[in-house]
Amino acid sequence: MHEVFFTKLRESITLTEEEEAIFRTYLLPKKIRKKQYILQEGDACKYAIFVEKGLLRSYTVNEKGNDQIVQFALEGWWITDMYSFITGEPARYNIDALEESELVLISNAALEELRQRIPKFLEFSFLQMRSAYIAFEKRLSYMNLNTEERYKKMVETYPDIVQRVPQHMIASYLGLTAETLSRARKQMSARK
Amino acid sequence: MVLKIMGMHVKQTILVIGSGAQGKAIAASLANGNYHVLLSDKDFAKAEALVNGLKHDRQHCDVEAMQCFFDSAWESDMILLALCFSEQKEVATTIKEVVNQKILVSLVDPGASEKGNEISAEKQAGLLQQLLPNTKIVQLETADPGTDHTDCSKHLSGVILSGNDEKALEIVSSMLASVGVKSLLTKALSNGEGVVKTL
Repeated sequence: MHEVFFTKLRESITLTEEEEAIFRTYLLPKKIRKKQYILQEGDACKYAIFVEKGLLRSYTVNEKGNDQIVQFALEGWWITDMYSFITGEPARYNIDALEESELVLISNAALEELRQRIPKFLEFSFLQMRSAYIAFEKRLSYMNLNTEERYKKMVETYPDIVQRVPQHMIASYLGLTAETLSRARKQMSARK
Repeated sequence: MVLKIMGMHVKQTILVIGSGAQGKAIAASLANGNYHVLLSDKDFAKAEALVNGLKHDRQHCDVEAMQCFFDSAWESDMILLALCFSEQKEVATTIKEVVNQKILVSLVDPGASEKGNEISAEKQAGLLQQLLPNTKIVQLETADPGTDHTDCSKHLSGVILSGNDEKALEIVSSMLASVGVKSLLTKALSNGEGVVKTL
């Protein structure tokens, strides 16, 4: 159990068998069904969520009632409402499953204890935060591009997501309407 | 498009294993709440019959019969074992891997014994905790053990909760309160003197 999680962990830090055993005691395994929520806006986000298998998304709902996707998370990725997780304040995002998913959850208290008991875990936390920041910046940089460029970047950077996620969700992630993205894709294929 | 509904919370998934009298009473109580209730029994037909009974009484209740203990415990946020103690130990061994850090509510078996010796409620909790060292064990005793729970419309009125994890006790107590079941007392299992705290 948690094979993807430990593979990722071992890529960043070396753990002894004993440390790995300690680590396992803090992990909460959770399986969720397609369309099931793991977090809803307004609830406190109690866990950092690692995707062992499946696909999740985080999104917010704007005043017109449209969902705006902030992040997708595939196997080996983390997803959470970071602000709520750190501060304990109500979450601004919803997180649900786009496919049946197997997750590993870690609470804030467990993370703190892990940092105390296995100091090198700090290094792992730092590397994960850095990756999350880079991904966030990357997404923001998309917004300076035109429609076609945004879509091309998305296909280049996250081909698996484009394969597995419906187009209207890709459009939402890129800050476009489904119609705009569909038009742009038609124009792109007409030029080929 | 998703409509914004303020005050919505993630629906907790609660697994009840065992569809005997007490399992029925607990499932009937939980079916009144905003929970996704999974019911499992080694005799799947019994679990299905109970689900059908509950749905007949309350058409919109979110209950489902499950075949596999392991998969349903993996899906669940909380697990309730409404079984005799020897079966609880068996099930605990089966689901061990997927209940790490979760809350497991064990129904006290008043008739539990080993090699002819009676096993106290506290000993039952201790043995379960040994099997599941990283699971938050809460013991539940029905306050009205004489009540006949054989029909699906009957549900629990009050329970006694015990456990060492205060947060877990609070969560179980408020879950039960949300479906109209009053938790009468809680007591720390580690305290052999049995000091009780009224909720």
